[in-house]
Amino acid sequence: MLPSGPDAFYAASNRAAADTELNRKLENASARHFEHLAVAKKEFAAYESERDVARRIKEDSIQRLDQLLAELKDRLEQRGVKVFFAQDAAAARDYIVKVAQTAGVKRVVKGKSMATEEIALNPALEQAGIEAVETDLGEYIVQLRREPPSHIITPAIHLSKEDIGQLFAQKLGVGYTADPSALTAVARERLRDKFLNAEMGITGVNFAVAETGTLVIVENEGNGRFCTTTPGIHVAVMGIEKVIPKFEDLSHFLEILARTATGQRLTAYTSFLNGPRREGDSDGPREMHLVVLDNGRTRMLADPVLREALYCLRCGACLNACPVYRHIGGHAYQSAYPGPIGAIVSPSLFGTAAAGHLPFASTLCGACKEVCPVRIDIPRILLHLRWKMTEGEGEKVAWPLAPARVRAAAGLFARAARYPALMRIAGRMGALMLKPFARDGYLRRMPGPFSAWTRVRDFPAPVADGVDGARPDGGSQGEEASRISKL
Amino acid sequence: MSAFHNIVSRIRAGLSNDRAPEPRVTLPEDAQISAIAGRDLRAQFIAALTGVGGKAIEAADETSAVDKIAELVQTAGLRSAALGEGITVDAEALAQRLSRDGCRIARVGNSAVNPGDALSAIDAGIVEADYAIAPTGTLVLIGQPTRPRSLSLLPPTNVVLLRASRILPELAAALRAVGPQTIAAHPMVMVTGPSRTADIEKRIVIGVHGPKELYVVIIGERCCRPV
Ligand code: SF4
Repeated sequence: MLPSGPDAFYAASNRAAADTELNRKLENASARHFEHLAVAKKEFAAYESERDVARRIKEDSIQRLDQLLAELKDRLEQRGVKVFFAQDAAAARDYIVKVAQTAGVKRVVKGKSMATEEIALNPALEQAGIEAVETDLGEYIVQLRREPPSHIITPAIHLSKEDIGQLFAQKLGVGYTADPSALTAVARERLRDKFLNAEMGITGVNFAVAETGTLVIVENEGNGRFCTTTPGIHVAVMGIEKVIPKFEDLSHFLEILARTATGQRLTAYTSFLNGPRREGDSDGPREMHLVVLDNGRTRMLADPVLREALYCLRCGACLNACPVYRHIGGHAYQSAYPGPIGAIVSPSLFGTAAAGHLPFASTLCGACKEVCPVRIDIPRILLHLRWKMTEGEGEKVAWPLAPARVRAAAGLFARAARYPALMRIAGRMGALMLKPFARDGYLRRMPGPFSAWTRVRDFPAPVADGVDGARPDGGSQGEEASRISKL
Repeated sequence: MSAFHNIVSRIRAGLSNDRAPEPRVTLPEDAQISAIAGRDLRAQFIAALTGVGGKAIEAADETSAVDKIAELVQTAGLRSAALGEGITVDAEALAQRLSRDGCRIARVGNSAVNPGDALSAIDAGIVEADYAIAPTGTLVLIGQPTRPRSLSLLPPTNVVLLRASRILPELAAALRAVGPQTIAAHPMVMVTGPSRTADIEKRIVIGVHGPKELYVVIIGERCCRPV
């Protein structure tokens, strides 16, 4: 799903925010995630230092991305991998569809890949008459519902086990059950057949090692292994930012990725692939392709503040940490990448007209930055993008951010704020004036022009000395998880 | 200009303002997580493996390993098993023993057999791990022509032979032991427990697409020094 402007987002997020059931599911899943993460961090003393090292490797990688990509390309080509560089989504889609058509592919099995969501590959394959089967359990579930994933790690996070039970009963003709094990067994049986009868497997890539020409895929279910082992053709799709210099660098990422994403020490399977099957091999694909995607990433790289977004490991932790995500869920963002990371990358990937509003959909609370394994300063980037889209050079958002009178009021505020005494007096007067509108300590509805504010927000009613409702200052790093889940 | 050159020149232009003259990163000495000194790697491995849903079987030597596998085949009711080539125990002896007990044996590992067909109806795949990582309970399997990848993937039960001396103290040590040359020439998979998912309400379910059962037969008493 691709973002389609602020109005659609506004409507979708309003609907989602009113869905208390959705909110409950997201809070539950998120609480579980942070419980697991807290345990994983506690037992791994090097967690914090590994985050620093991983970040430094990413900084280095992006600094010499041109060389690393050239090295990766050479290594893989030497071993018979066809490496295709795609400047945009359409080029990537066309290439993959052509490879499939040339080989007479009827069915594709897909491992979880956000990059293929980004380029909207499935509709393109279907249009070409090729069946594309998602094989990650969560992806399989949302595909049966003809929905996009709502989370980059847990695609069906918005569904309860009862929802999934009903879906399977309806679409797969099995008896209703809400038992996760029984549901998983159904998917195993249905998909096994697809794996053994697919001519092509398509996957994402978690890391690409330039030094050795190795593609690394991290997963738990084994579907990634199937997609890269049983079909005759394997196509891997990755953004340009996935390349890292050395094989030994991997340990720093692998030590923190699973811990942060799911609270596991390592995922069940980490596959290291380097080319099609060789003389004498009895399995593995006969043909292997790597599609390397720009699609706006070089634009991100050219902006020294936004560049940091390219360090992202797609661990999904910032989504769970985000109070906005937990209230509106992934679908409301209408982007393949929802949540905090989605808000900073979507405008570059999908254009400002379609996604320029997303950096504004944040409270800037900073929970994303705290949890991010490579310490991406997401709040800073959000502010930078807001500035860019309102004041900065180049492309601006095409819709008025605030009416003239709000901007005038903000200007007045900015001037008054230079005089502390004036601010104090104004604060007291404001508190007095607002008092009649307060109900249970909150301002929920204001008259006249102020109603625009209260339509989407409830304010804590001000107290006489001006400061209240401030976020209590949080504890140490160790308490981070519990605090986040309470935010 | 090709798309590759276009993208690379955009990268160069994008970095031109503030590219560091030299690579900025030198990793600190202590970047490698220090091994937990003095810990019994074997015990640590078994604890971690058990924690992720795998099962450890201890065997003093190769002969005992064959006995233990035969025992497992009986107790788990495995009616067929596939064996790769080049495993540490006497494959011939193991095959004979298991067939005598009524377990059908498929020998894979030469390109004449399509493992997909050969393995789709087999109960267990028997393979050997090159290394293991103690704190995570991980098995490292380096792919070779004689060891089809599907052997540890398709059958619902996976039996992995592991020499105790191959258990390493950390992930970084395993990557060093494998080394860039080997990884450039062979596919590899690291296996940490049986296949699993948490896609339904974040509840862990074992056995999605890969093996539902993972048995590790640990052979020998002693553990190695860190590499
Ligand atoms: S921005 Fe950080 S926390 Fe968010 S998905 Fe990327 S790596 Fe994970």
